Amino acid sequence: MSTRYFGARVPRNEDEALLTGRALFVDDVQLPGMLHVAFVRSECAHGVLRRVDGSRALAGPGVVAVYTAADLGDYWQPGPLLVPPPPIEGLTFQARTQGPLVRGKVRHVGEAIAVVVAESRYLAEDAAEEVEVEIEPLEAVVDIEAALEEGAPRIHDDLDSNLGAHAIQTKGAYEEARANADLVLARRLLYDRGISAAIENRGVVAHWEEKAGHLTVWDTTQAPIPIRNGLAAMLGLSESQVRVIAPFIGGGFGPKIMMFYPDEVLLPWISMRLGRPVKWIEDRFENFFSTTQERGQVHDAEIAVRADGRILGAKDVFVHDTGAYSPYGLTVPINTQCTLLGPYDVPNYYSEFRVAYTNRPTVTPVRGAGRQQGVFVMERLLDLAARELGLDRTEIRRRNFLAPDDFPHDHEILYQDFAPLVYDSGDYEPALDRAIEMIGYDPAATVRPEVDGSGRLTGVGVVSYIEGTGIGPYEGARVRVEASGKVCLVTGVGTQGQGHFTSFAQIVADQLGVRVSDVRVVTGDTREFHWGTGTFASRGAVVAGNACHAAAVAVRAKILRKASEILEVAEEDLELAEGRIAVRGAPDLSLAVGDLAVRCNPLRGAVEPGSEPGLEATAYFGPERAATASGVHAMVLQVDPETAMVEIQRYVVVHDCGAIINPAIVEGQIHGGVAHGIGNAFYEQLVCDPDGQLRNASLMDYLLPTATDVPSIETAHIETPSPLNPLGTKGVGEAGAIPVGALFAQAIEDALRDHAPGLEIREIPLSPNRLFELIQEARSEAAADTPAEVGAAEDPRTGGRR
Amino acid sequence: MKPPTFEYHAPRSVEEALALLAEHGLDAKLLAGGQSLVPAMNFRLARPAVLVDLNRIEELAFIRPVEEGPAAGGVRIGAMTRQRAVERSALVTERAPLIAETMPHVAHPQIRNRGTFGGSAAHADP
Repeated sequence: MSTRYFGARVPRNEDEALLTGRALFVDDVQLPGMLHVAFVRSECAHGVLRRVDGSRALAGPGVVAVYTAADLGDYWQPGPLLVPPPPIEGLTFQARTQGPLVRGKVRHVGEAIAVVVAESRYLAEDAAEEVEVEIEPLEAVVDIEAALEEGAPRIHDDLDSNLGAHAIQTKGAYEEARANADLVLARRLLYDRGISAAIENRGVVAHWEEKAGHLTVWDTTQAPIPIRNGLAAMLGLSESQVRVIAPFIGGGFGPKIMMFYPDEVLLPWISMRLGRPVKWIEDRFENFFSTTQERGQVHDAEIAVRADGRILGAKDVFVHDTGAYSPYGLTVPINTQCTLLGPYDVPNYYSEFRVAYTNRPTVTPVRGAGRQQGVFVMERLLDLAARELGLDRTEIRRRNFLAPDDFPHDHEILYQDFAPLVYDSGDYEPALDRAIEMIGYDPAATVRPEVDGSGRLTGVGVVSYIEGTGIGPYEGARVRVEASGKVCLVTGVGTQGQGHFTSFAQIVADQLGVRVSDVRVVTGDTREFHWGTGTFASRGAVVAGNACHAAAVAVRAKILRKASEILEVAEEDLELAEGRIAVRGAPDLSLAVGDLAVRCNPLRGAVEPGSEPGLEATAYFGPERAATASGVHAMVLQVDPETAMVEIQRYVVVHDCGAIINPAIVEGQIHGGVAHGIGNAFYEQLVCDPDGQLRNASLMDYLLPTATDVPSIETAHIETPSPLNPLGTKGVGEAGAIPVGALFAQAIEDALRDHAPGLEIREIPLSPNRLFELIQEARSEAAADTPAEVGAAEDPRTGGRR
Repeated sequence: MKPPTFEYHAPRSVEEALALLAEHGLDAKLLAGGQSLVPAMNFRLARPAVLVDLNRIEELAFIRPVEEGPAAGGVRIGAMTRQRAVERSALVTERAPLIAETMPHVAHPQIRNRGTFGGSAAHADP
């Protein structure tokens, strides 16, 4: 195939609309007679809902309706379990999902209890304050481990504990490997949760047109087609009566996936009941409660290594916080379990997790989806093992990398897509070498340029990771050449800023010999394409991208066949370029591809039996299993030992996402991911008190990194094409965010190695306050130890560390 | 995050503003740049019944040299002077360099274009 556009840094088709403010977002939808919705949310984390009375609210000015769970009748159903668990032997799995409004028990602060519909959002919020709610409070369950202790208050009364799941996956025989190890290193490692913080919050507009018998829903969903299917089923409508449009969306990051959030379920129902369009736009305060979150886990992990640093086995026992409900099944903890293995050859593995219900907002995947935690555990264990063994930290990684000829590599456990965790391809050492070279890390250097006169201490970090991307089941695409010669490309996935309007167009333009700007991409509108799942799991370029490719290949074949008939030359002698089909060596003999499209759709005569009109094809692609992307991140940072403030000086990403469609888009994804990761590592933490109350539910108190906190990111690409799809692509949407916590921890320890000897970073997120505390603890422990035994010469960390 | 109902006045002089404050007393709140008050109102943490908007009172926005009296050699800054104007004032840089150095630490330029010097002082935020 032609590679003219594939791999090129093509400017984005969508930028003009986005940058000039003409792109349609859900809140831009204005309809005559539209009503506005505000939710009455629980102020209590755990309790029994005794009474809810909206009569006073209903009497307010401009109030049209107030609904509670009782008004919903049979429409009240617990939400679907989106992802059933994989068939892991001995699995315990007790999923519980949320109903649209609280009935019986309140399980987290911010859970929706009633909904007020009024002529404006202002009036709706005024009336929401008038809804009377009585909750009998119960003891809140906030701590992940305490949730599973005997006698903990039960969040779901029909379960005998707060255990949502228990799973063990093993490979080889860890205990035997452990017995043969020269070093067994065990640590308790913590990762806490944050929000996804998309620039656009969630929102829904629903418009039921009675006479047309048709429902249109604009929704900030990452999965418009499953939402259409689910709404049709819930509302007793045909799928053809429901159109879900996911227009431009300001970031998805996971929580906008096919959740069937209460608002998504309620707004269509309200519009049908009232016969008027209704809108709800989540505000920033609500977002802290009504959108899903991620990352709370507690790990007890150990690694068994030989003296030369080779991993003999790893063991990890962890608790995963799923919040009040578990609609996404086991995706997050299984990603953690699988991604922990990283780019390494780990012959023996024991991984056990328990999922705990807590009285906190529901947990579902957020950009990285459990992988951060797994990478943090493995990379920390390797760092600390390297220290103990007197090995350089890059060397211990190098010695354990899977070799290029180890692929496909079977890890003998199941991945989140139910397929065995088999890495398809990769080449890890060149990425490490490149990152070391770019960051200027010299393992042999004994003195590093660390004092710049400011008193700040310099540290370097280098970590590796992998990501299983682009899982099934499938996506589809339709390619059609129009009379103008322009091409319409339709796919079912939604788009939230990934550059689909360009990268998909590049794939098609190459096949059809047209300009990228002449391919109009339509996504996220169920009227345009019926089949599909959505944008998640770093799968757009892999799954939808290959569907676009397959459809374009089919149209190209038809173009060549038809043109060969008309021009009376062999197909092999035709070439497609600049929107024309030309005969090689006879430039005058050519046909515009638009004219050919018209001739394939004649007004007179007959379309050949067995063929279809026009130049159009629809195709689907479903990968057998995930494509394994990988990378190495490296950074240089400075820590002020007095204030514990950290400044990142340089950040290097060497990434392998297989064949690259558009390097500019890949780099944009990486930059955004790293920014996300930096927030996760050092700024963002949801501070929850023992009553389940969030103490920092505003962006004044919950810190997001700003432009000045995110350094310029230097990237380099390694391309090992995936053999699992024709284009050779792997996903990249989540990658940038995944290893940042692990990297940050290593670089900080490096910076403080002399100032706070023995400092171990065993938790993420950090903050200047927390880091200050850890530095003080390490210094006082070191001071207590020094006279007795650990002299400088005996410090195990000094020998050979640099 | 929408504020509850409030009454709104936009006086054009200090005199008019004082008359409104005398009339409404503690029910009234002054609106300057709105960078602290408006978010607090949107969160419904502040619920003033009356807002007196000072943005049309031009006489409150100024930076002047003080040449006489105990503050001679200093500057006088009007309450409605935008933080950004203070930040960029050569006079402030010259005569009150600490203030000039402080201003860039207040949020970011968009906020400083709205936020006022008087508002910061009155709210002690930031």
